[in-house]
Amino acid sequence: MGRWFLFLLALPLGAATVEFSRDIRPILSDKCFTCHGPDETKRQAKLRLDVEADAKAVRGKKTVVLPGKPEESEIVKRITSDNAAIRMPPAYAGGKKLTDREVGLMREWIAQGAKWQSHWAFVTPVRPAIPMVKNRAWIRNEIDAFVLARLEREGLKPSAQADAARLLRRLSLDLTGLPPTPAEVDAFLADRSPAAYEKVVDRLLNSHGYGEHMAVPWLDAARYADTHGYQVDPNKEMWAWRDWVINAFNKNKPFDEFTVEQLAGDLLPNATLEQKIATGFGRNHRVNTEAGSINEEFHVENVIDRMTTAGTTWLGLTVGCARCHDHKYDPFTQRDFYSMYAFFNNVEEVGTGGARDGRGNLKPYLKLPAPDVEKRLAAADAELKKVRDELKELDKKLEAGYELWAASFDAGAVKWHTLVPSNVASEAGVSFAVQEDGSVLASGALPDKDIYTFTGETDLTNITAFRLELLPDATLPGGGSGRGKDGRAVVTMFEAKMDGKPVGLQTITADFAPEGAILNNVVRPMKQLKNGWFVYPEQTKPHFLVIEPRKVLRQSGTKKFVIRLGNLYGDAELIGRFRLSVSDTDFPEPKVTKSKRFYTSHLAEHRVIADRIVDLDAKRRAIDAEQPSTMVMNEMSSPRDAFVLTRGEYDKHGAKVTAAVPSFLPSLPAGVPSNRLGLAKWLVDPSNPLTARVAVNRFWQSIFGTGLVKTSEDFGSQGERPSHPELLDWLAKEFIHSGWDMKAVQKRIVMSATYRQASQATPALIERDPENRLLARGPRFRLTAEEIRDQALKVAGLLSSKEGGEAVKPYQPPGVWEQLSVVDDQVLYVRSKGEDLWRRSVYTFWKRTSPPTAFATFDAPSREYCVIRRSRSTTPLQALVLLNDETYVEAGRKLAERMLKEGGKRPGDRITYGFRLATLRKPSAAELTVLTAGLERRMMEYQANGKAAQELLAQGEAPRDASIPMPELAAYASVAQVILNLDEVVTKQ
Amino acid sequence: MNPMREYILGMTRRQLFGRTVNGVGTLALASLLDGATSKSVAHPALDGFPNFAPKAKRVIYLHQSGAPSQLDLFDPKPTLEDQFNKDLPDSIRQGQRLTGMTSGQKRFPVAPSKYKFARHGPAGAWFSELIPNIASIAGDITVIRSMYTEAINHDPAITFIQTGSQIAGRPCMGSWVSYGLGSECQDLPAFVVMISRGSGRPFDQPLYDRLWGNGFLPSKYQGVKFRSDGDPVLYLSNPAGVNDKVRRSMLDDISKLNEINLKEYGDPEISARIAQYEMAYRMQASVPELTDLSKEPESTFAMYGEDARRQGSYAANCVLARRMAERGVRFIQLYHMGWDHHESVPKQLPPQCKDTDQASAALIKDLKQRGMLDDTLVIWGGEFGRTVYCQGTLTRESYGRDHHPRCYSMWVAGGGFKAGGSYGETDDFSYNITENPLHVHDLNATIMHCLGVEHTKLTYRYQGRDFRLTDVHGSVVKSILRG
Repeated sequence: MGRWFLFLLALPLGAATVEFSRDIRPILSDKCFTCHGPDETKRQAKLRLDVEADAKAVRGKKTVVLPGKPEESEIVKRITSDNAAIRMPPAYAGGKKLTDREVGLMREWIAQGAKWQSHWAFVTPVRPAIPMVKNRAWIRNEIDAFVLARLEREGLKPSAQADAARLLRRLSLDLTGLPPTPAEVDAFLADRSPAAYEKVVDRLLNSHGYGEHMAVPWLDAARYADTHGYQVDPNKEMWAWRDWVINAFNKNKPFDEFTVEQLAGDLLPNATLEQKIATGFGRNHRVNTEAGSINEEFHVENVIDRMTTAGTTWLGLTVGCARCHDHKYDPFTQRDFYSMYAFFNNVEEVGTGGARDGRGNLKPYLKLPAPDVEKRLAAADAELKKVRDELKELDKKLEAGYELWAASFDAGAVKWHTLVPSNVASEAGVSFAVQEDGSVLASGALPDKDIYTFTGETDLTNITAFRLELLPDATLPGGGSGRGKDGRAVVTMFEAKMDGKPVGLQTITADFAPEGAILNNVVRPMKQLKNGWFVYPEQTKPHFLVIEPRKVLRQSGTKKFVIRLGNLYGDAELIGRFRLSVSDTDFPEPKVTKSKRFYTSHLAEHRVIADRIVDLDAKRRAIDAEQPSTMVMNEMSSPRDAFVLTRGEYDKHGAKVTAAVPSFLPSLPAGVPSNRLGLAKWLVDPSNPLTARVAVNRFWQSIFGTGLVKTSEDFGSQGERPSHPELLDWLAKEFIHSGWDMKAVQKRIVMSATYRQASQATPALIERDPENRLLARGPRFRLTAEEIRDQALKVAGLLSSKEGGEAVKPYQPPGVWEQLSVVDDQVLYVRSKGEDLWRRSVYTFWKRTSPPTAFATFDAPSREYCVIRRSRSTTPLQALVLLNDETYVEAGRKLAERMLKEGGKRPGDRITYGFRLATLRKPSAAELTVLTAGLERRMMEYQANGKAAQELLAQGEAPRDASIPMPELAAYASVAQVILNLDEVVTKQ
Repeated sequence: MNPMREYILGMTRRQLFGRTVNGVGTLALASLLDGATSKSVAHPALDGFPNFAPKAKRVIYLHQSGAPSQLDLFDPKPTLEDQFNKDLPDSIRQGQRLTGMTSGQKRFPVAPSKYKFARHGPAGAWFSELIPNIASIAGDITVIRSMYTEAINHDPAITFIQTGSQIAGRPCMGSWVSYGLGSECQDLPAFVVMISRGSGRPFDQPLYDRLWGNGFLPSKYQGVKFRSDGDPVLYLSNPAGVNDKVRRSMLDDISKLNEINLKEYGDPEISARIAQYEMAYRMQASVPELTDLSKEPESTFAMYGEDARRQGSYAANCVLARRMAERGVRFIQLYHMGWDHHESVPKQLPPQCKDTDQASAALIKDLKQRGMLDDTLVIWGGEFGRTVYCQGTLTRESYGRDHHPRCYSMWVAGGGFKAGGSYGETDDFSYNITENPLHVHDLNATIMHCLGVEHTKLTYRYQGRDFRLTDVHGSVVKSILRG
């Protein structure tokens, strides 16, 4: 008896009937479907419990579910058995036993007739009636009726409306990701008209910030980033797509068009450029460009990613499970999976990427219109072709001389002209003496590292190479050529300037280079690795290095060379004695290859033309790289074959499939093609049970912190049931009915009394409803990474209003990318300049293998895969970011300037002003006391320590107002940073 | 364990804390934070974990990124001498897939190792002359010669061994362990990552944040990257011009104002934030103390090698690993780059060994002399092996090796693993496994077992499914564990 009593208590109040969808299916799904569900290959005893007919079929003398007769139903016998061999789920297979409550529910459901229902989310919603409530005065719109009906059932009351300032801050953050200004709050407070609030809502929905804010979660879903995401993680460029999204939100593009254009804009009749750009949604996935990757393998990965992302974003289904086997919980078969896959399989692409364009993009891509660039590019191409043809002709002629050269060439006869130094300088106090043979001998100070700067002149023309000799000398340790242990030296850098201009260097060869020497480093030094050429263990013999300029140096007359030699290895392994020379020989390298190609390519005549090609090619690449591009989807004229892939492996083809939507959902609408366009239209067909629900649930989630369906990425039978199912359906129907009007549905939410509630909570309410699922109070949760930064910039008066365009690189501690990456220009984080340091965070460059550090600390995803719901954590690292990151130190300084200049004369007024900028309310007396006392303490500190004030204020590139005394500004900056760190400020409350 | 349950556990803890604050007021808060209640800051183990008495309390994972050649280090094949430059028999290759880098090669000529091998330790495991120091700890380790994996390229393979899936998105081992077993220390992260560059091939291979990422677990379980340049932990140091006095004064103000807000709103999240600011402050002292090697005695550098004085070197990271282990860090993950030797093993492998041999061995000896080896699990190895056939030019003195997922070698020590011998055998070409194959999932399941975790039980529900490190695979291999 006790058990029964317990289970009845556990049912929702007022729900006397056990409902299959709410109460039973979750149990079956969680405990039974693994072996008795949709997955045919794992099915035991030929029994499936996800199908009514199967569960109720008479099986010999047994019936699994016998309506009205729980004790005769096999399922009840099995789940209650004490016999381990009989009990279900089987312990031997690690099955979890059903709880008493679950057993009770099962019994009661069967006793009540075992009424079956399809999974709620797979049934097209019908518009529910607006429920009746007692407290009708509270209701502002339909949303409130649904929420209040539930609260009244639970015996709870809604909270009072939030005070105006806080409500406006909440609203502004929710619709634009930015706090309002105090002036906006004042205007709102002064507006006594009944429509005052609505006017603000409309203003915010129509501000540009709206689209920038709305785009962020969409970019998470679309896994938008600025790099390809695997291994060396090369750059790509998709900002035209990102700007398309921002504009689509701002223009309030109906969600059905928003959907169709992103999934199939290219297939629309007379597709516009914008519609084609929109298809970038399907090209935001990662691409593995690692050498040696197998094309087909990654083609499959890319298509699967494209398809599962669409499945999660629009359908809220975790279709990925069905890659390897039929879905365990939802009626989604492996065949369904690959039939969906077939829709996305026909883009003309290469699995491992293929060639990248000048902006890093992979085919198919669109060059964004730039008529001038296109004209110049065509001209450059024509010229390049002409010169290449010319060179081919010439080489044919030159080959005639090869035999003679091959028989007679003597490397020893190459003539080198010593560069006699006019000056040699050290950065670390080393002394130099020029020897009779033109060499330079170092002595005196022995620093760990140094750079020698050598200056010398020559009249030689047509210079093809420099030579650096390391010469042993008796004055050096062990009679070697270096000043390190045993006479060792490491040359870590060779840089040359001719008459003040840098000489591009290319080939580097040595007569001797032991294991571990890295010649390339000498001409292309790396920040991370100070190494290069050395001759150990042969340092007591002379050796030399030959470095060839990219182009022959043809200038006549006297030329002045300034050559910098790096000695940055450490351990005082400095060059001891060296000599520099130049040559005009055709064959300067220590070793020649006896081949025609080697021969012709070294001849002066060849090099004259080859040098032109180098120039033209560089020019062409520079022109090409000027034209932005963006990756798009297109459709092959005939679709690629698609197969069920056994265990999801790319090379294990099973049955051939054609594009089709899953069989448990409505079929394609009449008259649509069986391709991506048809699929997109199917998604936004009013009969689709999922799309509208999934979309409105995400809007709800971004405003209330949790969706009506908490598992916003999973509406399947393992997902959580909606907290307010009727409200979800009502919103979904309303959304469709309004013509998929995104702004309208958001407006309705923020206009509700539910939304406008204060978020203060009593301990009892927190205990009762810790996650605020019943909505007896307003939303209160931490801002996102982007909101926290944008807010700080705005409050500090730094935020740029520049819209769109290429991604920017704001402050990030040095070395973050460099620590992980291989050496390449793209691994260096080159900080943006000026205004671009303070753009909205949606424009921040997103490197997938090393996402923006401060954002990652505040739960931003890596953008490697689709994320519908960010986690929200509280960690000490977040405190360190807000206290120590240059972004926030600078924001504190600029906010302090505003406090001092705009906030009045008295400290209390100034602090109040700053506090209000961030919180939009005035501090209480107690709060003001804390802040004022803090200001005084730190004012004393900075007055006593002017240097500290100066150091603090030197951070960040924003100019400092020099009219304010530094100790005062520093003390106020510390107060400003305290304000920016408050829980209230990083929280929407 | 499902997220809701975890949430409730967390909330209960915070509520308790929150009410305490409400109840006892400001003054008591500061002392609570310094003392007993700060335990609520570092996260505890999940209920029921560990599942049984663990052998290992912590893990030091020495990942050799790029894939060291098993043929030149641990898996000698003397009969290959006669096979030099002969084609790899089809009976061995069995048409297995190859990377795009060698699939176009016309021939697959056998490249015998040029290095000498000898047996060491009580059970006579084999080691090449390149790793004399690791050979000297043969008695303390088990060499696994029968590892195998599923991926053939670096990115998917290293993602696979760290997260149990080739595709991005799953939590890595360190995140799972810190999620399941919680943190032992109050002022350091539970899961730390350190990276060093190899001298063998300093340009390769890159690493990715996802390798220490939390995947779908809450982000507090992500690995905290320690750095050798600048702040040891990002944003750790006060900005210039902010001394400790100023910082403490600011923190006091933040704390007082947050308490006022807590009183009004009653949200346990506010007390959590107050506590995290205090933990951040403690980390500002504890991390520099941890990373400062200047007080290590000379004997440390004699043991780990002079390279340990160079910040950011593998050797220095090994010393740090020991210091972290002493201070209760749960999962210490090292990465040493540079093992991807396609072109010239004899040119690139020796410097890699020089980087790592002495320090790896020193770490084991050091843990042992401090009595910590028994409860510290140390793992050494890469993401796959290398081919017996040559990539590029083959001479007796020079050869390159491509990626080989079908067998490779790793070694393990301490934390419940057997010591002194080797496990598993490969064929005469080190191409296929002939005895005791050990899949990556099996190794990971066994590591979890040593930590007292039944690998099938440490799960997290995401997208309707209970995910785990070992996916739906993995068996604990008891025969490599001590009885």
